Amino acid sequence: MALATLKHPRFRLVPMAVLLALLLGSLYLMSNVTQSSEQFSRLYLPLLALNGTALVALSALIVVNLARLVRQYRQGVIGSRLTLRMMILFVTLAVAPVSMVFYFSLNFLHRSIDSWFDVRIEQALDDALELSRVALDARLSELLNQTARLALELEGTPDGAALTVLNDLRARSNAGELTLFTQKGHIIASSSGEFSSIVPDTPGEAILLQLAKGQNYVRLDPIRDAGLYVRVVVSAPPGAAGGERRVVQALFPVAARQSELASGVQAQYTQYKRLAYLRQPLKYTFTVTLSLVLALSLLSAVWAAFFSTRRLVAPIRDLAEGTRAVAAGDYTLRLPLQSKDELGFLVVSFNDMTQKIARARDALNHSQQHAEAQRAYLQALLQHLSSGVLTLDHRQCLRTANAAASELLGARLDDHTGMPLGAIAERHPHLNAFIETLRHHLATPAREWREEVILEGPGARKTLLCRGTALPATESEGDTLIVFDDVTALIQAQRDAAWGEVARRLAHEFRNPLTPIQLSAERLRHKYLKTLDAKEGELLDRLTHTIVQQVEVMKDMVNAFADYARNPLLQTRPLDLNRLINEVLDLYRGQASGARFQTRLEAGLPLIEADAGRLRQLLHNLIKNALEATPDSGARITLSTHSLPDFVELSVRDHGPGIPREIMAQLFEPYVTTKPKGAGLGLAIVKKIAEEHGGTLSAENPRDGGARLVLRLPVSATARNAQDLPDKAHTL
Amino acid sequence: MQSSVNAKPLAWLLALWLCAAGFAAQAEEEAAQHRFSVLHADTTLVDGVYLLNARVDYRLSEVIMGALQNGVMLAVQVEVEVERERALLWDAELTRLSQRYELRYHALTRQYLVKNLNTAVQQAFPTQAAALSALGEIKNVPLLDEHLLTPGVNYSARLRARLDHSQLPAPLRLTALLSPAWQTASAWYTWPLQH
Repeated sequence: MALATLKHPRFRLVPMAVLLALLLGSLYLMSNVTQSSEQFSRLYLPLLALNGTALVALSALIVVNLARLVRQYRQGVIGSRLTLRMMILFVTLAVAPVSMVFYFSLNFLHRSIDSWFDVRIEQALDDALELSRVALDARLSELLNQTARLALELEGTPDGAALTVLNDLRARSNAGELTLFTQKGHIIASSSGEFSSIVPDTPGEAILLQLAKGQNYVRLDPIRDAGLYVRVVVSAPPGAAGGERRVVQALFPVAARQSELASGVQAQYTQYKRLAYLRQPLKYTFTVTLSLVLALSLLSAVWAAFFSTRRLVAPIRDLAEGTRAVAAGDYTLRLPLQSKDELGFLVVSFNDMTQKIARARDALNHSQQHAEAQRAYLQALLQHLSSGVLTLDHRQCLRTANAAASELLGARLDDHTGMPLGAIAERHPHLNAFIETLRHHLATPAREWREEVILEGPGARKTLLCRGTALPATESEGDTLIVFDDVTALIQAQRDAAWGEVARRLAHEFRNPLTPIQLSAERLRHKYLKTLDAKEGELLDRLTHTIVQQVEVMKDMVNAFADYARNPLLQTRPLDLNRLINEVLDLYRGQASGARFQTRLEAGLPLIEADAGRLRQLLHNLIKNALEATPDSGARITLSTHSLPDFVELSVRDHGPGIPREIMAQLFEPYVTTKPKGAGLGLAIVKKIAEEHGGTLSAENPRDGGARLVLRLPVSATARNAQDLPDKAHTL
Repeated sequence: MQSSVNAKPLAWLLALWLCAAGFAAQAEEEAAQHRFSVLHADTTLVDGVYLLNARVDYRLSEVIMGALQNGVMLAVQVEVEVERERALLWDAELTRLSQRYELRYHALTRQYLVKNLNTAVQQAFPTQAAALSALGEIKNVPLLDEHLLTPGVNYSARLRARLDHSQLPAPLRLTALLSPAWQTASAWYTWPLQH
C-alpha cells in the first residue's frame, strides 16, 4: 500500500520540485556572488558541493533509466519504441534552446565583466597614486632634515635626562612621538603627544640594521589604525663622550586632509587592482556556476522527459498489452485508469469491451456445455439401451448406431458411420436380409412401420423385431430412426410353452386309450388264435403283435411326452459332476455296443447344485443322442469338463455326420430329429432340464467333423463362495 | 568476443587514471615547493607558563604573490594543539591556540603590512621577504599554564601554518579550492612538551 502511494505520480513530483529549488538557489547565488556579501560567499562552496552531488545523482538516475530503456528497446518491450522517440524529441527540444541561452549568457557575462575595466581609469589611478607619493616625498625629506637636526641637539644629553629634552624637542617640532632608543632597539625615553598607546611604536630590526649601515630611514607608515604617519629614524650622538650612539625615531602625523586623500587614493587603487586581478577568477566562477546551472537544467529536463514520457506512454503500453492479451484470448485483463483525459476514456472503453466479450464468451461456453451434457446424456442412454438403435440420413447412409445395434447385428457399426447401406451390406453379407428390409421400407412413403426380420448370423439365427419411423423435421431432414430388438428368446419361450402344452395334452389324452387297446389286442389273440387254422392264426398273431408293439411304441412316446411336460419338484443337493458322469458311463461301458468313451474331466471341478436323478437323465439323453448320431458300431465319444467363472461346462463330442444346418435353429424343439426312430424329444428334454437348473445348452458343428453339444450349469452358491475366497485372499 | 569489447573501455579508463595520477603527482610536487613549512618549534617554561617559540618558513607561490601584489589580503593562521598522549586511544586534545595574521600590500607606501590579529600589532616592511620573515617568527607566545598539566603524563604539542581560504575574496575561493598553487598548509610539526 505504502509502495503504491509512493509510486503515485504526485509523489514523484517531490524530487522534481527539490531539484527546481536547487536550480533557483544556484541562480540566486550566482547573482549575489559578485556583491561579495559575506553570507552568500560563505554559502557558495557548500551550495556548489550540493549542486555537484545533485548533478551526480541526476546523472546516475538518467544513466539507469537510459540503460533500462535501451534494454527494453532491444527486447522489443511494448511501448519502448514510442518512449525512445518521445525522449529524443523532448531532449532535443530542451537541449537546443538551453544551449543557445548558455552560449549567449556566457558571452555576455564575459564581455560585461571585461567592460568594467578601462585602461584609462587604470592609468588615472596609477597617476593619482604617484601624485600622492610625490606630494608626500617632498615632505618626507623635509622631515628627515628636521629630525636630523633635532637628533644633534641630543648630543651630550645623558639617558636619564633625555625625556625632558625629548619633550622639549617634540613641542618644537610638531612630532607626534619622539623616542630615543639604544642601538639594539631598547627604549631610553619616549615623548608622545596624541598617541593613546602607552607603549611607543618601535622600529623593526630591518630599520635598525639599515641605520647601523649609516643610512637614515624615512618612510610613510600606515601605523595601526591611526592613519598615515611619517616615520623618521636617524642616528643620534651618544649621551656621554665615548658612549654608544643612539637612535631617534620621530613619528610625524600627515596633515589630516592630505592623509585622508592619500588613503582614499590608496583604497581605490587597491580596490581597482584587486577587481582587475579577480577578473579571471570571477569569470571562472561564473562559468562554473552557469555550467552547473546548465547541466542541472539539462539533466532535469532529460529526467523530466523520462518521467513525463513514461507517464504518457504507460496507458498506451497498457492498451497495447491489453489488446495483445485479448487477441490471445485472455479477457480477464482490466487496465488501470490513470487519467481522466482521452487516453483514460480509451482505457475505460477497452475495459468495457473486454468485459462484454468475456460475458458473451462465458454465455457461449455455458450453452455449449449444456448442449454437450445433453448430448452425453442421450449418448449414455442410447449406449445402455438393450434395443439396437440406428439412424439413417436421407441418402440412406448410417449416421449413428449404438452398442446394442452392433452387438445384435454382429458387426461393428460405429466404424461404418457415414457409410451407405449398400456398402455395409457388401462388407457384412449376413446383414443382407436386414438391409433389404430397411431399403424396402425406406422406399415406401409410410412414416412408421414394423417388421420381423430373420438374421442368419455366423453362430445362430436371430429374429429381430424392427420398428422404423421418420424423424421429426430438424436440420437433418429426411432422417430415419430404426429401433430393433432380439425377440429370438421370446419366440423360443412361446414355442416351448406351446410344446409343453401339447406334450401335456398328448400324455393325458393318449395314455388312457392305449392300455385298453393293448389289452384288447392281446385278448383277441389269446381267444381266437386257437380257433383259427394255422395260416389265419399266423396272420392274427402277426397283426396283434403289431398292434401290441405299436401300442408299446406309442406308450413310450406318451411317456416321453409326459416326461417332457412333467414339471417335477427338483430335489437339489451339491453334486460332483465328474463323479456323476463316471457313474453313468459305467453303465454304457458294460454294454457290447462297441462304443469307445473318452473322458477329459478337469480335476477339482466345483460342485453344482442339482437334482441327481434329473441330471442322470440328462446325461443318459446326451450320451444316447451321441450314440445314435454315430451309425456304425465303432463310435467314439468324448466327454470333457472344465470350470468357467460361475459355471461348469460339459461338452459331449461325437464323430458323426454333424447337425444339418436346416434344423440347427430348431434343434432343441420336439419332433426335430434326423433319426429314423424316436419322438425327437431327447435334446428337448436335455434343454428343459438344463434350463430347470439355470443352465444353458448349445450345439455346434466343429470344423473337423461331428457335432458337439455344450452344457453349462451354474456352480452352487457355497462352491462359488469357496471359489471366490482364494481370489480375495490373493487380492488382499 | 564479449570480453574484448569490454576490455577496450577498461583499458581507456586505466590509461586515463594513470594520466590523472601523473598530473596529480606533478601538481603535488609543484605545490610542495610552495608549501609553508615549520622549521622549528618548542616551548619553554617561564614562571609557570609555557611560552611558544617557533620559526615558520612561508614560501609563497607565484600565484599567491601575484594576488598579494594586486591587493588581495592573505590571512595566515598558525594552529597549535597540545595533546595528552595515550597508549591505546588517539591522543586527547588538551588545548588549542590559533595565531592569526594578516598580510597585505600597501601600494601607496610600497610596504608589506603584517598584522597580528591576536595582539592587533601591525608592522610594515619594505620587502616581501622581510615581511614573511617577521611573520614566521613566533616568539614567547604564552601557550598554557603549567598547572593544567598532570605530572607524570606525557604531553605533546603540534603546530602547523596555513592560509585561511575563507578570508579570500569570494571569486578567488573556488580557484583556491581547486588549484594546487593555493594549497599551502604545512605539515604538523610535533614536539614533546617538557615539564
